[in-house]
Amino acid sequence: MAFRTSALTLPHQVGYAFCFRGQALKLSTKKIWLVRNSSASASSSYENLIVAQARPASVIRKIREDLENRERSAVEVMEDYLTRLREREPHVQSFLHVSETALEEAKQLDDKLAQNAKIGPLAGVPIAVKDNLCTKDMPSTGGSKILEGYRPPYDATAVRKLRESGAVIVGKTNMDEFGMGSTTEGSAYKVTANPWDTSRVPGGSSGGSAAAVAAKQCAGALGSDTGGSIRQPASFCGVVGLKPTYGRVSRSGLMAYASSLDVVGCFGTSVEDVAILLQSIAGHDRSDSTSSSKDVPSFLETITPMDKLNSKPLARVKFGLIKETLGEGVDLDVVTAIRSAAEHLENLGAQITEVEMPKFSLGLPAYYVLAASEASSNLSRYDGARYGKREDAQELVMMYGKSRDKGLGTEVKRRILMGTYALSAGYYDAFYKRAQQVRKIIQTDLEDVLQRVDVLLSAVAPTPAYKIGEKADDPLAMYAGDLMTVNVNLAGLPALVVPCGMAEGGQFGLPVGLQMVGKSFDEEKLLHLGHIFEQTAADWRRSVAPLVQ
Amino acid sequence: MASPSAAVLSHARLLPRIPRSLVPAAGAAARRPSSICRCSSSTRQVEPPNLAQLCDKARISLSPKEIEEFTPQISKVVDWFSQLQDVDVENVEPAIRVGAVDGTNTLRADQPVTFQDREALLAAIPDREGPYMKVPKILKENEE
Repeated sequence: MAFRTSALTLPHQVGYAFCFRGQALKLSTKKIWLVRNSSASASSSYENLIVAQARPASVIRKIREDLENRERSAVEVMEDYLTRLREREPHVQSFLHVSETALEEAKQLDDKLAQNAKIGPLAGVPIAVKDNLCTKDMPSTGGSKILEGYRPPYDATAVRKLRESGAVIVGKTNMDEFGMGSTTEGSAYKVTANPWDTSRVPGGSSGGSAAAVAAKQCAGALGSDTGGSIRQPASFCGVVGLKPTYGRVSRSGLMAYASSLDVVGCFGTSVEDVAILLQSIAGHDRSDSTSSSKDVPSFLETITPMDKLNSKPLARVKFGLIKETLGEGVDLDVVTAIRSAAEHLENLGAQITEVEMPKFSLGLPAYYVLAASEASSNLSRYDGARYGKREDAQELVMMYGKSRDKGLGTEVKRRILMGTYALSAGYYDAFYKRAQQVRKIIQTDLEDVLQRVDVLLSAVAPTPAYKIGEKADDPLAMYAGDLMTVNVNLAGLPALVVPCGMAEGGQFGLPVGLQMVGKSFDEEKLLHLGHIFEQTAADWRRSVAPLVQ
Repeated sequence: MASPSAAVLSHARLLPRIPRSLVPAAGAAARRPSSICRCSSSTRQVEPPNLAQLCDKARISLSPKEIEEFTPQISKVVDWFSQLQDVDVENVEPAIRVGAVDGTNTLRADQPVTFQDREALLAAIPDREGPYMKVPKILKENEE
């Protein structure tokens, strides 16, 4: 039976009567969704009952199929997304800049299709890009005033590769300034709201990208992850987020925050979409000397169609559940969601063991020493001299001082100063070197555990999305929330976050994500397992955030 | 709503180990007893952060009000960093980077390549005169 995915229709709040709350609801695999037909056909004041797929489906693949079958034109797809983007933007505020040429690019694609010319794998797919990735034709501010209006002279490699695949960059998304923050409140421009509850944060620093995907303003988005900046917003917004292995995706064109920790990654509404995006952006790049020359496998081949799997598709797969992420201080709803997810994996045949990592919590101070130190060096280029906002001054050093004071935000200045302190002459041993040694310990611990299990499981954050303004004044309280994500960056490992349950809060509950951490360069396994998890999760609830209308 | 984060704070040893008054004297950078590194003899004593000096090094002209606000916050975080001193790092190599260095592909041929879009580069300069970027003069004492 043919059915339309939510890319076409707008699942409405009508369908949310059957609630969830993390309790085991034995639902059948297909649910009937009451959806309002969103097509612009004149007076659609009546509701259409459409049987929609209950499992997350690849939006990108559907767009591709529709274009190839001429069922929809690229312009129709783009208009659909742009309309939703504009409608929801006043509530979500996920974009700092919306492309002015998106429809034009879609039209050009339609012309190519009319001539039966070859089109790329992402042709016509609207993708949003985090504002710290350079885009030649759109301003790139990094969420900071010091780069207000700045137009880079080149595209970031990941952006260039998306464009070469035919994707249409639909806009630049909001973020914590230069990637420093976990709420997107650190943006110098505006605060993005969580589509699940607009009084709450979407997470950070890639909050805009996560919110845009959750609100279906685009089919997928790029983000960056230095200490959890893709995974935590993915968890808070109920979307899939992937942090690739360090070196898997080129960092050229990504505004550097901490060069030994930054990676470029992606968001999608399903694991398959994230696999498609990763396929497009991964690969060695001469412009990034830390990018790996390892072969890029076919990530798509790891997405096994569900009908090819038996009833115990995860037999012989070993998962390690990290005990330290489920203990004291973690929200009870989060623990319940993660444990239910683990139980579900067991039902699929997997073997789950609880693993203890006693040095786990050391990652947090080590991360902040390294990140602040590297940031103090990387952000020294923002001085008002060659680009960005310059303040008037009589003298050069004053010009630097004033431009940086006015142009950089509070958290950024704090971290630069902390980093400057840690790197002061003679302090290298006490701070930076020591943090690197602790980093080595954490790397070794994680690698050791990953010899015994295939994939590690953990929560992503101790709580679901909190209220806007809650963590405003206390940096340490905000840093605390990164406990479960930073170690993965310290070790450079890949990690996938998939929605796995709901926590109490907001009108309809708040999403909770499950983090799966894999071995170095083993994104294939993560995507394979994540896809199976997603397609079989027992009490799957609607995949679209109920936006305030 | 303090409870989950407060619990995580103590769980992850996020509270400063040495309780001390963090309110600085008005106007001046705080002068407090140095935190002593209780580790190997190769690490010397570190002075607490002197924000005025750090601002100078980092070329950020904070206002006195900002200095006053930041000093306790930064001191608190730096104190929190000191828990790393308790870790036994004997014989542990610092991890300069993730994974092994892939030496095969990091260098290209030493040949100049012309960047195609010079105009876009030059257009970003805030104050420009022909091919030159214009900046205020450097004072003699600031010459390095």
